[in-house]
Amino acid sequence: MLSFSENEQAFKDFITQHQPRVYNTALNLLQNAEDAEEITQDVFIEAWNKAHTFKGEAQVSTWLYRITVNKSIDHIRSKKRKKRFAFLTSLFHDSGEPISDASDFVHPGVVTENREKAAMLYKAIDQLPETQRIAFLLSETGGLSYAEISEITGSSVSSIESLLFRARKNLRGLLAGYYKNLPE
Amino acid sequence: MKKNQEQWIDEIMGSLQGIQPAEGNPYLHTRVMARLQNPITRQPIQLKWVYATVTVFVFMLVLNVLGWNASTASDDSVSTTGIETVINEYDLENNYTSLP
Repeated sequence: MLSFSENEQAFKDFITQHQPRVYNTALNLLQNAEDAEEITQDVFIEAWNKAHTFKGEAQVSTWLYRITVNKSIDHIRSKKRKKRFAFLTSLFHDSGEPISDASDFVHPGVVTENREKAAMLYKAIDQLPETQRIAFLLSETGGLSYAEISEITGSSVSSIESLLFRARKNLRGLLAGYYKNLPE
Repeated sequence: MKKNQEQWIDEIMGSLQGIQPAEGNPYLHTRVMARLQNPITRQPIQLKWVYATVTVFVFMLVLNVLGWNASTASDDSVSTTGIETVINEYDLENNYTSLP
């Protein structure tokens, strides 16, 4: 059982140990540094408040990944809802603000010579269905095994295999479309 | 000149190889502790706004029902008087025919 009560130092060590994993997962899913920072804080606040519910059946990191993925998904959905509402209100009142933020995110940890290519890949990843996107990012950027992803998402290992297969196939299809629009 | 499509796609797909973890906020612990000590409390919805919304909704509903009733009633009278006018105008009650 996890407990931080009356032990702030233990919680500080816990944050130091797990912050890179939580922040990078959120950053990859949300593709926005400010949102990732906010979600990272939310994850550790929930970890503090719900530490007593962690029974040690899974690893702490898996538990944290699960909270991070769930909070990130909620955040993405809420952002989409706001975007839709902004579109509707813009039909009646033009505030002059852009409705959508252009998706040109590149993870800061990407090797410099790959940045342009990675931007294109992130653009394609952004178009994948939610479950495929999560499985692909956890696997490719988080370096997690099928078993770990299955534990985090609550799906079976075979369905994760299938999701990743379809994600790669869809990405190749999307990239083939981008290729056709490349200048000669 | 454009590269071969498959080769280009492979390069893009492999662009995340060797990705390094990004640095998070070094003051995360302080921020989290501050938020734990001063939790953001959501403002409860004021009761007057609930009453106002319900009143407007009921008012609009009543207005719709009254409007609908009025329109169906006037439709009937118009259609009846319309037919009567035509009958009178053409004197159709006498059953005239154009042939002798």
